[in-house]
Amino acid sequence: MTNQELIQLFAEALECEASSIDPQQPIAAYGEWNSLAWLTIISLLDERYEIQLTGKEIRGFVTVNDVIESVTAKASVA
Amino acid sequence: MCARIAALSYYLPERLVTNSDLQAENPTWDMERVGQKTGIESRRVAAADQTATDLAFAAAERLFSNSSVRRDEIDYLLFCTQSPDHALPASSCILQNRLHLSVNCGAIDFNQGCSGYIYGLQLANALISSRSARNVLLLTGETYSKYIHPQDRSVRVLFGDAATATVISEDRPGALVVATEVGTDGAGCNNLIVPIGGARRPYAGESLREVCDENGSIRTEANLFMDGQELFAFTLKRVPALVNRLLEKTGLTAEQVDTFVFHQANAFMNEHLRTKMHLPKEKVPLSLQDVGNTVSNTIPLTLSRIAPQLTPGSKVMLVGFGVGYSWGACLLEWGEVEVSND
Repeated sequence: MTNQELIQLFAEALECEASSIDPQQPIAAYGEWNSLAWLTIISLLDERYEIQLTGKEIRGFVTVNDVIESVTAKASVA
Repeated sequence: MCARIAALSYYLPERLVTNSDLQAENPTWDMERVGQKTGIESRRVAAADQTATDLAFAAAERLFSNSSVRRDEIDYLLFCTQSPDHALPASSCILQNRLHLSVNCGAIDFNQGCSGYIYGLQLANALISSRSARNVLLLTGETYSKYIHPQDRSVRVLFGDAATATVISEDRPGALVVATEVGTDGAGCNNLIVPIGGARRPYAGESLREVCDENGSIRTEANLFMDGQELFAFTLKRVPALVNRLLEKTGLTAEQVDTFVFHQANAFMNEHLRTKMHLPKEKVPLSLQDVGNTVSNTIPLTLSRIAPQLTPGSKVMLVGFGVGYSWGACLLEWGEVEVSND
């Protein structure tokens, strides 16, 4: 799983172009990154990589990079 | 002694709240997208003076009118609700009287949500197997609408009110209760909760203050709170394992089960669960478009609606999961069930 694949996954959930997602940006900068988008992200991560994110983890994410780092760390353990 | 579901019915309150109604009331909500994701277009909501016992009463009366079961045959009443009429007495006692059931009839409430119907079947099966009862009336009735803040999008779009009635009998034809499996993880108790109003945290002025969360939803602590992401994560973790445990217990493979009736949480979550478990679409009915998530009612309501398509002898697995956390599954061998539909 590469960072680019993850950004592509976020773009799918947010229904936008991958190029419009900047990993350094706070998630709050993306208006459409709401609770519904998170449900899609949870479902896609589970479907493609069998990785599960908890609500507590999600609440702790500030930037897109935080999500990427957490998911990558989980993938390396699994 | 075998326990069989002999008769089934449900009742929906009259008031209809459509996605367009919610859109008009809350211009910032994107109800088109909510409708696409949840699969819910409208829900029924109890009137201000209508409670879960009123709905359950109507469901039971419909069952007695449309089936061969007589009320004097009922010797045990189980009522599943999380919105009882009073802190005490038990709502089931009120229902025993309103339904003119025998005074020799047992009556208890049990507080479960989305797993409640499975618990009801398991208890009814145990009562019949132990010769404690011959005909159990299992009622589910829920009015989450009374706990929901009108401006809390996260729950208002999802939940609907409803009631169902089921008779489980020792000597009538019906759908055989083959096996059940349940589980609990109270560590998730705060993720779907009405925080105050019970003995732990009685009503107090400050806790009735309205708070706006990061998604713009408004609620007080006397309202229903749901952490949808946690619930989704819990479901993915527990439900496939639950289904596998019941398959193992009954010696069946998923292919040998003809129909899976899952708790109807929302279309998005149910579809994800279905694909995760590699189940074909035609084996997994969805019925929440016009009623929403009706908590303990979703499984018997769906079962009532699909009953005409079920063939005797077919294997039907019921799977409930949610508030608690609590989960349960039940395998039925379908038979002649007297179903009262709309």
